[in-house]
Amino acid sequence: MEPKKINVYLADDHNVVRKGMIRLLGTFARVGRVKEAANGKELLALMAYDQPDAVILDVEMPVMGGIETGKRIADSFPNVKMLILTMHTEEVFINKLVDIGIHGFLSKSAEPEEVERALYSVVDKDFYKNEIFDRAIAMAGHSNVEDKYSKLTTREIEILLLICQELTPGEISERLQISEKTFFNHRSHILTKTGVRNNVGLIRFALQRRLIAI
Amino acid sequence: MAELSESETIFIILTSSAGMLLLVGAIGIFILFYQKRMFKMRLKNIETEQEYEQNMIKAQLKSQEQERNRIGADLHDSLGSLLWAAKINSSFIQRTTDLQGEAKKSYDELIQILDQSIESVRRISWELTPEAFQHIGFSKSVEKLCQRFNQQHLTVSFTEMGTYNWNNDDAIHAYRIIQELVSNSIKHANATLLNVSIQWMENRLLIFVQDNGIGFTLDGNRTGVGWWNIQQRIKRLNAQISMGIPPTHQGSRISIIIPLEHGTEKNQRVLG
Amino acid sequence: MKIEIVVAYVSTGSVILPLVLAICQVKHLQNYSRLILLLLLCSLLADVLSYFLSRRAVSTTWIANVYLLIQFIILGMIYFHELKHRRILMLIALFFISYFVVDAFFFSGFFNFNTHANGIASLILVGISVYYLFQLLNKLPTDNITKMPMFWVTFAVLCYYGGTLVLFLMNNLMLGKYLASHRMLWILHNICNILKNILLAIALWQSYRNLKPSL
Repeated sequence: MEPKKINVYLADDHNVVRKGMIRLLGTFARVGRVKEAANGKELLALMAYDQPDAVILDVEMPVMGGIETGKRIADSFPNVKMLILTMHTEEVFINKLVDIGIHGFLSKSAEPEEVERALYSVVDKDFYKNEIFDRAIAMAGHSNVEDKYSKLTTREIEILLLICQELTPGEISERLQISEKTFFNHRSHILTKTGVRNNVGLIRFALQRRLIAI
Repeated sequence: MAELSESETIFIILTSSAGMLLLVGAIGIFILFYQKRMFKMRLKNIETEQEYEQNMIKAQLKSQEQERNRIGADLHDSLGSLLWAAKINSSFIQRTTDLQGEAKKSYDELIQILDQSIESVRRISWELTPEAFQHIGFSKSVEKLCQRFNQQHLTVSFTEMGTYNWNNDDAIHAYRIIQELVSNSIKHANATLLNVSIQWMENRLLIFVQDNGIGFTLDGNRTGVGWWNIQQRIKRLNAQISMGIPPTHQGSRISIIIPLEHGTEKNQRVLG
Repeated sequence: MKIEIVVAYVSTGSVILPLVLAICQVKHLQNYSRLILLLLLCSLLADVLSYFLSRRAVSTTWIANVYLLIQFIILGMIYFHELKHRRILMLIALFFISYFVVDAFFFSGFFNFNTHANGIASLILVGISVYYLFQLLNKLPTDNITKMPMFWVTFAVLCYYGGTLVLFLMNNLMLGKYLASHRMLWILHNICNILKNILLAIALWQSYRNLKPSL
């Protein structure tokens, strides 16, 4: 069965970047509607009207930058996946974005082909794993974190580990012989208990608890 | 006229002599006091002048850093985005066109040029503003610096003894000094091995920058802006710098001793 | 020869030393040194005049009075330039001058020796010179104070008028031996004068040396 078309909105203050991205996104097989905004404010205005499946955000924008926009989207539209485009890839910065709830991180010096992979990954698996991500998570794994989570049940830990192995919800449900609905239930419990916003946060969490190793 | 008695005469003579001595003494004492005060005032003047000079240098270095930050950020953000847009468009071309022969070659070269440009922008802006210095601290930044300068014909290694979390203004100065020394060495020394080693001691930091290149000419190349910068920063840190020859008798070795404010034992924190 | 006469002649003659030095630099004199020159000339004039008049047995005390006033005015003018708080100085000077004039014409009489005025003048001038020295200590104008002519001038003033003051007091104490002490008074007074002139000579000598680089 052909997967549903992915609708993408993008926000970037440079006109040439937007035009180029629209063209490029047009060549991606799974991408449907594409809309553009020059900054966070415009993007939110668009989204109030109609939400996409994913947004691609530039960090440095006037009026409202990527970070502020990301926070708002995570609060108001938690089902929308967010991909951040940035020139700065320092671990501390990326971790901050993870806290906000961003699902994937792309560097502006990467290959544009990666955009397609990243887009599919955040839509399917709720995160996108690349070198930036790994480095940031690895660094976060070593810092001191307060233990503020209640105990996870065995089932939940199982699901957590499978999520970390990059399996899609479909694959996980199949593996554990449960319905997708049950899976999402478990997942939201896990999210509440661990206090993270998305799978990215879960992976970081698991790393910090030494449940998985990079 | 009645004559004065001898005793009175003697009395008068004595008092006048005493008066004379008093006078001479007074002049002498006055001169002494005057000189003393003069001396004190001169000392104070020198102090004020030195303080002023220090403040000038501080302001200069600060404005230098600010300028660098500004330029680096500007470069990074605007140029970076434009190059990214170029890459996106080129990717689009590749996906939608079947390039053949010369066109394909030209396209590949275009991509190469773009990549190099992006890399240059990153490198230059990074040199201007070391990323997240505040967060990752001195040691890590120096380590990254060495990694970046590692190239085909030159191995740059970094060694550290002890640990310390140093990320204040003084740390940036020390970082700049090392940055300048390393880039100097790369430019002029024709070396194949370069080592930066830092040692954290009780209340100071020892830095050694050593290479196996052609060594120093005693009088050359010490007057450029780069060296002025190093000298001013050394002064700022109350540090000492000395240049010599490494134990291997080939190349050069620069040693810097920087006094630190508190003992390293108290402030240990291991950074990731 | 009686010693007091020797001393008197030496005292008169001692004016020559600074006078010569002043004339050597007459073209380059500044405010204060011009005034010093004037002072020296007056001193010479006063002494010569009293000598001639005493030969003719005319009373000479009025010369002393006038000379006192002139000295006071000239020195006042010298310090006027150098000190702050000029207004107070002016006031004091005016006060003294008016007192002197009143005293001379209405009380003690012009031809009598005006001891009180003498004492007060001396006091004022000593006060001024001490004040000036303090000001020097605070302002610190030059590196080597001994090169500054005003320093020596001030000490000359201090020495002479201080000495005069002391002598004046001593004179009042030795009332019994009035005549003899009067003679002694004048000997010592002349000695003070000699000292003053020597110090003024040093002052002018320093002033001359200071000119050297520009000559």
